[in-house]
Amino acid sequence: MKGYVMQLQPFSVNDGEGIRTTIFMAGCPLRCKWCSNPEGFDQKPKTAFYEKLCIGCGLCTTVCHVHNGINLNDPKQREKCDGCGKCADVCPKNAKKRMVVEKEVSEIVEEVKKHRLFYMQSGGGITFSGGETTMQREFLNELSETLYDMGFHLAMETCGYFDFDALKPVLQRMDLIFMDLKHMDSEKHAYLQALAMKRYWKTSNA
Amino acid sequence: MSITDRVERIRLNYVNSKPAISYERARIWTESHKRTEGQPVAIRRAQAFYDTCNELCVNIFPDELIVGCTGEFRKCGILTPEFSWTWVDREMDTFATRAQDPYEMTDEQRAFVRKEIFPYWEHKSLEEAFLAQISEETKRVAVDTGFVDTDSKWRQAVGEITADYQDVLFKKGFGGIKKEAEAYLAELDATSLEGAEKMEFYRSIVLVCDGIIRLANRYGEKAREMAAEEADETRKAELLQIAEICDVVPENPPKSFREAMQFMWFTQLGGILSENPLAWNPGRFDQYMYPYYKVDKEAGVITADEAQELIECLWLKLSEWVWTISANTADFFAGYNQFQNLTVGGRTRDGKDATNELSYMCLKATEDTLAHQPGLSVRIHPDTPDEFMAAVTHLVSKGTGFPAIHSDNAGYQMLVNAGYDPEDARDWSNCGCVVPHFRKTGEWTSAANLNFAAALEFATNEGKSRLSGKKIALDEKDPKTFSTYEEVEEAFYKQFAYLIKQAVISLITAQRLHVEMVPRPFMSACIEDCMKNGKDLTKGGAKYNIGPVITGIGIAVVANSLAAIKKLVFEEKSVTMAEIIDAINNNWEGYDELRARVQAAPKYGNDDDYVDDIAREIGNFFYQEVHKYKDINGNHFLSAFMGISNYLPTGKVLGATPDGRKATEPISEGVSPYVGTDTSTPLAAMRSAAKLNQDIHSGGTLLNLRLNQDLVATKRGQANLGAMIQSYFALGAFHVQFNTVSTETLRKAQAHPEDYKDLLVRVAGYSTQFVNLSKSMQDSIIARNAHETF
Repeated sequence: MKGYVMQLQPFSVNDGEGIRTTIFMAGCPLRCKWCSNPEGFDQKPKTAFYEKLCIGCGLCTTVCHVHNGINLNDPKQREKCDGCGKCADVCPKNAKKRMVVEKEVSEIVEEVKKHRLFYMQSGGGITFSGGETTMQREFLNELSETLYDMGFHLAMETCGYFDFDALKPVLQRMDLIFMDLKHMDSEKHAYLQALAMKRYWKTSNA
Repeated sequence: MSITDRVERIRLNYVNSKPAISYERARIWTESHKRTEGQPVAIRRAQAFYDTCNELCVNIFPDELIVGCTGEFRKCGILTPEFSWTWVDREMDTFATRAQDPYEMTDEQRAFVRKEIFPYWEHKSLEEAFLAQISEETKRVAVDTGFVDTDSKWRQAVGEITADYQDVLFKKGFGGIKKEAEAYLAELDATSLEGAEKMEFYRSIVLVCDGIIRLANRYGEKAREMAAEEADETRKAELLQIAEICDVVPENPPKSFREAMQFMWFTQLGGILSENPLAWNPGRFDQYMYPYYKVDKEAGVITADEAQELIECLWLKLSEWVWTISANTADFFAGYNQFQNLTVGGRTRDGKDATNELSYMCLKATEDTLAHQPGLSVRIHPDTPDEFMAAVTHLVSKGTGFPAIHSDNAGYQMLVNAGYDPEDARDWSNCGCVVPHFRKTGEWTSAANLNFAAALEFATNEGKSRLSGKKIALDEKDPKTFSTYEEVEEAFYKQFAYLIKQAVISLITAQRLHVEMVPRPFMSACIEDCMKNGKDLTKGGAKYNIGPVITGIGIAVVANSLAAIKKLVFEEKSVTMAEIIDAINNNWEGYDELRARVQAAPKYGNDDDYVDDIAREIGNFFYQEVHKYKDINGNHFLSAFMGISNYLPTGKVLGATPDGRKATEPISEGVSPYVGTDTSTPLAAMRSAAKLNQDIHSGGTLLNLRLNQDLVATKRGQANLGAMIQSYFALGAFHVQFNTVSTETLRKAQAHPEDYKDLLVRVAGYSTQFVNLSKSMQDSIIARNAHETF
């Protein structure tokens, strides 16, 4: 089964106990004004352009089917870009990067299980994060079930905006859940996160 | 901060004073040799040692509790013309100004040495004999070339010894060793070759024992003299106590912790005076000193603080003398380091955890004094107490680069693979850099430096040096005509085997000369079995005689280069061999895009099997090829991946390489990734390094990692570091060491060295003061990727 992922981050020591790999999933119901990963708001494929790394070789332009130039940060070119990622594949400096990719559960498992020994020794494991990890409920379910069965310590970082009953099987596998309470005031919350608080309270009181 | 004001004063003097050359030892050594013409060389050297002990200036410096020095200066380097003097003659006019490891020396000193010392040694030194005896071919490849280097074994004494305090020195004292030698002499006569040779050996032992005892007694006399004139009552009492101690050790077995400490330093001093050694290792200090500490502490004779103070005094004594070396050697062993390795922790001979109170005190002494010696290492086994691991990671967090962290089990395994009995193997300590060692061993642990990247250069440049154009190695066809990846590999391995062969030839020559010219009676007295066998170390008197170690430099650069060629030229076919060769011939100038693509190819140190498999193959071949050869005692040569600072001089002599590296830039050291290319996490770097079958390289393996300070700033972060270390060792690796100083601090220290005199950094296999490193060395340390955490 495939899901939308921003990146896998090994050697995370601030996302739960010990040494962990954090899986950042794409897609989020909120629109926090301070979000540091706005590319994860939706699951659309998109390509980043890091100007500082670029050496101007132009290889990317040779594979672009919408005939974009080098600078994706130019609004006109950004508009044309459909995030296919072909340019990122050829860039020798990783100046172009696929920000949201589709990954199979099996691919992710292969990657994260490499560090089993480091997790064991440190009391670490795997953390699901994002974006909002609970938005891809089936994907998260299959992934967490597989990793749970393999014996890993599992943690989850969430904003709490999900259907508690529907997500119960997943929650039961977690050793640790971080809930990020964005704001106590419903109006401010609506302004900041573009969603009212009501549903929130339901989840956090569960 | 040091434990006491006293130690702090000594420490500040150590930090702020410059090392100076003393010719006293060389002068006495020379005069002595003039008087012993015609005598057997072992006797001449033993007599010279005695004469040095009897005539060398005796100095007790302010605040000292442990006494004994090598010359008239506190920070002092001696000359040993019997090994080499021509480089001294060539280089001493620029000793004070050379980029790496400068020494102070006056014009008067230089004039004296040129008039009274060097002339005697002309045509008599080890260096001259070696250079006269090697072939032109070996000279072309292996003398001052940076392709193969063995000069520490013919411009210097061997060193590389761990004294046997446990079974020899503390048990018998040098007085006891002397009596033993005399007893053997009484039973022998010179009616056979064996008898005659043994008598000569034992006579040399008697002389060196008399020598070191005489030296100690002279310190006793000096202390008493100084006490008589000392106005301060406290200091007076200290001096009288020093006198009492010097009366009894090292002639007799020590009876207290204090006596054991002074005994240990006199032994160290004896070794230094006898050969200006590198890697004259204190060994398992926490094991052999503990019984004395325990008894004294329980009897109320000493407090923990007093012991801590003594240990810190010893650390500074170990740091104050200077291993005098040529500019070439200084490039390979940069930073005034003497590589005196002191190993704590691990398991006992019978397999129990060996950690004791002294183990912790040693860590604390390094933290307090920031002394660059001893080379503090720790042995970590899976059941190492959490508290000890916490103390180790705490010291790492201080950013000194200490301690060197070793897998107890891998060291054991390396020794078993080299032929040691399991019980002895379990009792291992480190020699010098990261070599697993044992106190009953004769071995050249750092015999040859082998430049792997040079082999690749010769393979891709028709056997010629890319920088000089000179033909150095074997013939090879035009690299632009290589039509398969296998051809490239074959060409590399061909040149590689050739370089190994030249290293072996160089070392066999050196070994033979050592036996003839420079026997080591003092060191032999410190190693069990030399007495029993009646044989000097050079003749194989030790219990274990292990083959010389050839250390590989640049495995990451070669693996990365081969991977780039394999992928781009032969798999993707997006580049031709001709383009790559043209690019490196032009030092990548005008080939930016190609360089970028080559740099984007898989790199060792990122847990990528594509390139890690190539590295593993190279390592395996290295072991097998080296192992084919046997030394003059019939022992297999060994392989290793040590670092020291050898990755600089070996890079300086090479052109650009196919991995994207530019000409003359440093290559890689040990099993560490090439600087800046481990772009994943340290976990990935560790996994790559662990794939190299480390335990077959019985000369040791070395991994350097830079970590961002954030990881180790808290206790919890340090616990994570401990987990990383245990995991790395569980993967089969032998050693890792961490630099946790921020780039910012290093740049500041570069700009304002006067404010950062005591900043210690990890080079490779040792730590030294950052400000004592040449700019190119400093830059190479700064360039190492500092791994961030998330």
